[in-house]
Amino acid sequence: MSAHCDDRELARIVEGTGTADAEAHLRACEACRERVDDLTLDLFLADPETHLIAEELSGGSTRLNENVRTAQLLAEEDEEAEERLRPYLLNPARFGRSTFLRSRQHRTAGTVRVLCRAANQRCEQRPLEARIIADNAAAIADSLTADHYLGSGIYLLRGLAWKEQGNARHALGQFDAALDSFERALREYGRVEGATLERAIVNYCRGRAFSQSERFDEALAVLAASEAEFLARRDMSRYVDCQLVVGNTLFRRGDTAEAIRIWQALAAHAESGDDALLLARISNNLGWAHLGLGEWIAATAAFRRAHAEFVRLGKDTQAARSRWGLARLQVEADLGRGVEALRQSLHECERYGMTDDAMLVSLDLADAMLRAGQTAECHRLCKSLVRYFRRAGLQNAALRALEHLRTAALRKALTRSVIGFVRDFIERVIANPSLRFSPPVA
Amino acid sequence: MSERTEDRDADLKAGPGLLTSSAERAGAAFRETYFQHAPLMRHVAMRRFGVPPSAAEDIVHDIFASYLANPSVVRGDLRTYLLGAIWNASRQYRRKHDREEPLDSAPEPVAPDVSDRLATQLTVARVLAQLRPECREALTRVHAENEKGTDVAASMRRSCDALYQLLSNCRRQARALFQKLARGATA
Repeated sequence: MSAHCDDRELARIVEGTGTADAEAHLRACEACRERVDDLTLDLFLADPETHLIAEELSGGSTRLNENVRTAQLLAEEDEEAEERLRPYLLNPARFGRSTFLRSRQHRTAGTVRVLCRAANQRCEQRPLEARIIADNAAAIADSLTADHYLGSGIYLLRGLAWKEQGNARHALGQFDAALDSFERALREYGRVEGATLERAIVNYCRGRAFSQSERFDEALAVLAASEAEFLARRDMSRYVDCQLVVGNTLFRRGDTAEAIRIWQALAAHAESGDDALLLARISNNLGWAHLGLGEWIAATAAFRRAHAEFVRLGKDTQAARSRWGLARLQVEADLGRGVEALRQSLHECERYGMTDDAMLVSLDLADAMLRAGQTAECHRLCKSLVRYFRRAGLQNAALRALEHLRTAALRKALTRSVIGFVRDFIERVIANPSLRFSPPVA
Repeated sequence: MSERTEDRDADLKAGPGLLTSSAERAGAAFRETYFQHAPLMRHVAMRRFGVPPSAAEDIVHDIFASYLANPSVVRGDLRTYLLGAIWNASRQYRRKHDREEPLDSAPEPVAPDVSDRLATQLTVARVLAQLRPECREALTRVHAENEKGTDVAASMRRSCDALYQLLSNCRRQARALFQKLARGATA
């Protein structure tokens, strides 16, 4: 196109619907570009929204200026709090020994934020420290007055502190206490009309706590509400987390087929999103679910897929779990080779320090030995478990269950049902450490 | 260009990296984030949900205030979070004021032409922000508020000729600035 564009063509370019020819001409023609600039200016100068943005850009918006000032205050406060809290965070025992909570200088929103971040970061690895830190965060958040510069944001801050306390308590296996904290968080978030995402996050946390304390119906109810909010917000990462907990809850409740349906849908999502780690984790779950239903072929495929991905991603411990699943399948195909494969799995768990898994593999091995007629070896194994896991620092309820197994072995009264009973309990107590072991009624 | 305009220009160019204190950096970073997302959020509230401009503005500021109070609520992409929040808040607004439930329950992806349009609008707004106050006032009242030239001239204590002269100069300046900013953006 050599002639200049007419106004109609130029208007189409401004609207973003220009032809390729016109666009090509524009790149080469300074006069037409200037005309397009003029039309663009005309278009946007006539839009009040442009003037509103210009007003904001030049500092004329009170609300924006307030928020900018808040951002500055937050940064100042956080910086100060980080400096002041450093010795406490290096040694959280200092919180108990000092007058930390009574000191006025610590009663700032910055202190709460820094403590919440620290609690969150330590929750998985050092839950006791996380709980001490979150307890202090919650106490300070509660002491901040309602006329705080954050306005209704103060309730969001309090909600966050109580949520972190709940997370820390959850990580310590104190589910009832965690649920109390989450209730407090919900109450604080409930004071802010728009805090629907925050409430959904707390409900997700409550769902996990209900699920692990075997209150399955309550878990599924709150998880359904969270799931809907995450989906409505297109917060897919949280939606997936929520669905994983829904699947686990159904599986624990014994609704294996429904759990499989949820996990299969998630696997499809992970595949389409190219999320290899998620796909591997779900495949592993599917492996166990199919195994439980006696669907050997589907279980084999799922465990193989999980194993291949975990190996490719360098996730050694998780790959070891998939190999354990495959070893369980091997038992169904060839008892002798299955026993050997489980023995190797047990060594792997010991090598990686996977104590909880090692307990379950030991029991799978004992069961397989009994099936293979290796009774003496099975008795030897069951008698040794208490000593071995006590040395590994295992909790009391699980030890009591293993003690029950040892007694049965000493009395030469081991049966598959005794092993199965203990295994079921161990699996439950791993998720819910507050459970107490009671031997089966004879 | 007046001294004041140059100051403003310098302020606009100062990214977070040039500022010294953490508070200054945080303020600048917040402004940057705000201008990156607020126009699209207002667009969604007003165009998709029919929220009136002043209410849309309040909702957007409330969302940013909540985000400041609890940034840890954002997991991953901030834009997705903000769009989800404006979608949710606009829906609540509609429910409260019209008792009418909009058809779509989840945020729709923003069409590329909308994003392009808003980016250009932000550039024009940046141009306006760099002009002298009387330029901005004249351009706003004549172009956006469609006031009569005679009324604008009277309230600005100018003759009509002087007003049109002013508008012409301002347009020329605006075009030069726009070309500079738009070309700079594409370069």
